Amino acid sequence: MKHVKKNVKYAVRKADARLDITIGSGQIGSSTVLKGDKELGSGGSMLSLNLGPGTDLQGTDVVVASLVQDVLTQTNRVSVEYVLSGGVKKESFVAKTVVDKDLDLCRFTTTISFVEPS
Amino acid sequence: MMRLSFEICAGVVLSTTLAAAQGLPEIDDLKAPSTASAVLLGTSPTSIERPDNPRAVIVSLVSNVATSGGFPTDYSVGLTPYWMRWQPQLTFDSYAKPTFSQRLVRTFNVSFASADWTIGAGTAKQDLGSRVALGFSTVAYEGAMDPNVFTLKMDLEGTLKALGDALRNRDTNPMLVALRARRKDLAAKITQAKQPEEAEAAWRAFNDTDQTLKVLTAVADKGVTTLQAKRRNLARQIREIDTQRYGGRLGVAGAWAWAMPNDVFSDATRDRYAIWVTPSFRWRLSKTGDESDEGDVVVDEDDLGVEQPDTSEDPSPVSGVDPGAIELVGVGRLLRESDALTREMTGGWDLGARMVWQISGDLAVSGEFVKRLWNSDLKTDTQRAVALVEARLGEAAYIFASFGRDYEERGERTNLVSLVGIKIGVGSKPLLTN
Repeated sequence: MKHVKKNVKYAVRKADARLDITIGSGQIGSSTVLKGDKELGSGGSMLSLNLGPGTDLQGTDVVVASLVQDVLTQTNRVSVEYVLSGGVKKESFVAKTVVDKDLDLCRFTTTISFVEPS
Repeated sequence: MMRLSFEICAGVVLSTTLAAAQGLPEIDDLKAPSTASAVLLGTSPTSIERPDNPRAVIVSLVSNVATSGGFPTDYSVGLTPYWMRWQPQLTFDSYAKPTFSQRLVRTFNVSFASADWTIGAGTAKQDLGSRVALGFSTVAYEGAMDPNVFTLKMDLEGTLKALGDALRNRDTNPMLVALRARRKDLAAKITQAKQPEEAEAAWRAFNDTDQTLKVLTAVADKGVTTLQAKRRNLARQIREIDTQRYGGRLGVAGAWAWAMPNDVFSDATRDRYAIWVTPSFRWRLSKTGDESDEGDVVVDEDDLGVEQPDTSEDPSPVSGVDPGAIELVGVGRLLRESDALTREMTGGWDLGARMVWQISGDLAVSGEFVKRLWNSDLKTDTQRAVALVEARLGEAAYIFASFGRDYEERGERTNLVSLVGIKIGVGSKPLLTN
């Protein structure tokens, strides 16, 4: 099983930060959002989560662990899109790879580090 | 899939005139092809390249130009632009229920093919140059997926969530983490020990820790393996539903070919063109199978009770259609090509229909009718009407019986088709549909 790891930074102020996760490329998956040992939320191929006030998030990491299953005959591409909003500006990131063979599973671990605006 | 097969004709052959021998198409030849340009030139489908990203397209072109020492001949490439790009916002739900325009874009395929242009055969074979063709195909309408796919999708999402938790627990379980750390420390103590007694004690402790770690890891792995088997089965079921859609479908394709005398591009003239239209409809009459098995799930387990992946391949129904389903396929093809001598464009329409009824997993009946309407005073319209019954004898053996009337040329009497045979092959390609 492939494991794609990604690290991103997101600048937040006081307002609540929001995270939207989409399993793309027409595939099916599941995501779990963790802050330390605490699970903030989980969901299927689409997940929207309010992460809380930016002041509480500054200096902390949130980890998004996703598993994506290849189900389509048209492609072996698998991807996860993360859209972060509520901070200094709305930003989106994509983690992606191509699984080796049909019906393979791929693991994505993305760490979002919340920082103060520079 | 390549199919190796041989036929044993066990029955009485009253009269058989194969369409291929007359240059006339069977109904499968008339279906809208995914690589229309290659079909128009008659290129073997096994030689069609299907790069799935822009870099692969360039590599394919460059390597073929290099191999040919110039303009590539006997080269075919089919591209589906939508699937050559990353689609991070394409959800499974959107894929399963596309709008009309989304379907057109997602199934649009362009193809390019080139082939040697020759006449004659053997020592009289003469090379006139090359032929090139450009084609497209798309699916304008496609039947719906079985709604159960969304239940399976939710089940798969839940399984993936549980699998993700199990993997994380295995990685972060405090006991496992502590045992791994202890094993590492004990390994270091063994190498650093100065006294034999000290090394022996460390070695015993290391073995005990290692055994405990292996047992606990096996327990954690059992849960992971079971969930892996479940997600594979669910994914396979979803894929099966995706490929067996019910309702209407409309496939469209077109291709244009040019002849290039002596491979001179500037001398190219339009040589032939074709347009394919394939409407079809598939009904599910009933769900067949042993009713007493309904709801039972049979899985293989190893000696430790761990569920094993389902690697068995259900034998495909003989027709390629689900048991209990009926498929009606209509075909229309306009083909016009230039006459070799006069260079005038001639050709005609091929119109046909076929109905396949997969009565059970082992028995299918079909009937097909194809009419060729020539656009020429020299040839008369002709038609073919054939019925076929096919039954599975084993995993890769079929018995078939066909009867009807084949194409006839001007002045010839009706060609009866009556054939009984056994087809033994390796692979899943059925006789009735491609």
